[in-house]
Amino acid sequence: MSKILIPILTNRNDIFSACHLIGSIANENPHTEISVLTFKDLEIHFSVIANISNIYSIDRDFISSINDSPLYSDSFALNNFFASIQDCIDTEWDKVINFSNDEVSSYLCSMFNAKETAGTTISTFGSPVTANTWSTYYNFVSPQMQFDVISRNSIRHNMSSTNYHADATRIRVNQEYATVAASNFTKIRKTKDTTSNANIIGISLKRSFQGRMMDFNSVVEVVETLESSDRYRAVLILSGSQEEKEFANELNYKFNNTLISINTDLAASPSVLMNVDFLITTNNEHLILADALDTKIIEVKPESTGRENSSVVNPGNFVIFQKETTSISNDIILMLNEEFETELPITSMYSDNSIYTHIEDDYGVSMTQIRGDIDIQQELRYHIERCYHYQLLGFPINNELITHIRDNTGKEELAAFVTKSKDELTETVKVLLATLRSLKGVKQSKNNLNSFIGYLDNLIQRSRTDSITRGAIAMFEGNVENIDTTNSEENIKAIETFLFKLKNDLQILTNMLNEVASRATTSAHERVNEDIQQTEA
Amino acid sequence: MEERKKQYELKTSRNGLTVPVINGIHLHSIYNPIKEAEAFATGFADTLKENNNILILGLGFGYHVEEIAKQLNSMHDSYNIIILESNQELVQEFNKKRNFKDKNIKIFSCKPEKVDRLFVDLEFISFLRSKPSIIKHDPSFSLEKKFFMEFLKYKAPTEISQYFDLLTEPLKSYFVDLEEETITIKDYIYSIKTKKGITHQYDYCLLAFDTIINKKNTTRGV
Repeated sequence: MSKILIPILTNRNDIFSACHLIGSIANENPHTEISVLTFKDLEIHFSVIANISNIYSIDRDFISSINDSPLYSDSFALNNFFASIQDCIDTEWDKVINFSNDEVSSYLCSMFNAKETAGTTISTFGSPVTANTWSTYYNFVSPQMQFDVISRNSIRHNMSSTNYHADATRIRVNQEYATVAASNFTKIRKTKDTTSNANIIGISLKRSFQGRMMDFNSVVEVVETLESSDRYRAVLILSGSQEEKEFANELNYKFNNTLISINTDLAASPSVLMNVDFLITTNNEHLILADALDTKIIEVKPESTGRENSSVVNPGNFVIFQKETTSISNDIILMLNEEFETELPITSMYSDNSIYTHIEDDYGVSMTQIRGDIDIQQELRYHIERCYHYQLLGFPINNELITHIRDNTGKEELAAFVTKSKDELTETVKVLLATLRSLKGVKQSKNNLNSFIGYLDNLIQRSRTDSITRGAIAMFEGNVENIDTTNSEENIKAIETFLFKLKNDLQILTNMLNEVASRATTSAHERVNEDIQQTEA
Repeated sequence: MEERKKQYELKTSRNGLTVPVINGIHLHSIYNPIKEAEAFATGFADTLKENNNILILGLGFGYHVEEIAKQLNSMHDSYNIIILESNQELVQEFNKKRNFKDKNIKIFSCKPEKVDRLFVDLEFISFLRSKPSIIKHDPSFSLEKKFFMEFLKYKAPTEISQYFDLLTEPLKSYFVDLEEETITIKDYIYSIKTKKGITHQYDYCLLAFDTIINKKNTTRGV
């Protein structure tokens, strides 16, 4: 039996999201014993995640409070901390996965006795060392992105060399609760006069991990529409907070106390969430649990100022990026109409919000906009950058995507995108060439070393900009950090190799942009002729 | 100590209760200790309402403690009282003659010059971490002012060598070279980051420890 340790020392979002990787590992090798290391105050959240054999925990509150007070000797904090990780230190692990890629996990993963460590560790010089290209991507590229072009779930699976198993059991469902919930939901489905099988739409009132809540008026409008229909029944899902109770009470008051609300603790949540047909929710644990239980989701991102990451993993789900004061009820009703082939009333087909759906392509799951004003430049950037990053990670170009973009984007929009991207590319290439020239100088005289370091730093700084080349540069930075020689000549040689690799990586981007540009520089008439010629050929 | 022993006596109040008298100071009312204790506890009603963990400085003969416990019991589902007393003879006498039936009350006692001993007791530390309210029993406090002041002003030693004996065996082995050194854990971690570098498996643990205590666990790349 192999033993795997996964430290998750960050937050609830990471803990619940880990159910996918843990499920995939267990599915791939059922005899694996999976242990997690977390903080004591976060331990409770693992209770609904399946396939975990052991939970080790660090009492950070104790350690911090002992350390913060001048009354107590540091010995207590030290003893407590070391005692809590002693079993992890003493165990011979087959694999340790730095899942959350935080500082504490990275230090600890560096010292555990493991045959294999996936993700980032820290060298004895104090610099990050990544185990493979996906780990490099996770540690160096992901932090530079405003939102992920490759989903965290894909990155974590690839990083730990695990295939994603959509059919894995990810959530622990309490059978007693499940039986009660199934019986109650059967009754709820029969509460409409005209059908014995109403569609149940769960509405989670829990705040998102980021602290955002769905706006009251939108929820009222959605509930009103659903409740006035014969085909639907709305169910409010609460997790016990006073704020949620007040929200539900106010809502219920508006509907003469006819609404159904379920106040559920974490242990019972899976049983409830697996019984709803669709869940409307912010990015919270209800969302992740429902997704892992294959319940369809409409994720609402309130007060959204732009595109953000979604924790949804399965394709076929929806995300609404809600503008500050705009109602989302029409967007939700429209999606429900399409999903259930109903005709609930909609007051407007136009939406100020941006609605996306999760779709699956050759690379994995991505998000594509289906409603609302489209920011073409942003969408082009997302899809091209995603395709490019997959190529940086060794995947082939997605020709279908490039063709789709070429054929479905306006010439001017495409030209504007290509021009901007090429400008960014040119700027990066200039800095890269200057760095390479400077490297030649170092070979001639060591006195030029400082100048070279300056150029190198300039180049790496470009990964912190919004340039489309940031991914390639951040990968370069990761490769440079991974150089483990202390010999300066070998060091320079290794950097040179990676500079040329970067040059090649930028060439890939150039080729991609040229592919896209071929459309931008060709008129519609010419394109038709091209297509005809290609068909004839 | 010898002088105090000589002047230690037990009197009986008018309502038949034992009242210790030390160096001529009556620790409770010689007329009615219970009534006095009731008034004492009532004076702290707001404090008792806000906090169910109470540290009482001075045992006396426990009347005031029992009254505080009574009030806490009426206000909270659970409560804890710890009494700090330096007069060991008084504690022994109290245990012999009265003692507390209430399991939520505990006495911690140590010699006046050994205040630091209190701070190596995990139960006592755990109680202090609950941020108890402190209530002073004035007659006891005035008798043992030096002890209580030392307790209130106490600061734990910060050098590794000063708390070396309290460390677990694996940590003792790790810090063995520092047993005679005057270096704090903060400075030692700083030296790992700057001069010494990472040379031992536990160095990584200390860097993780440092990140936890400074609450700076970044997730945006390491």
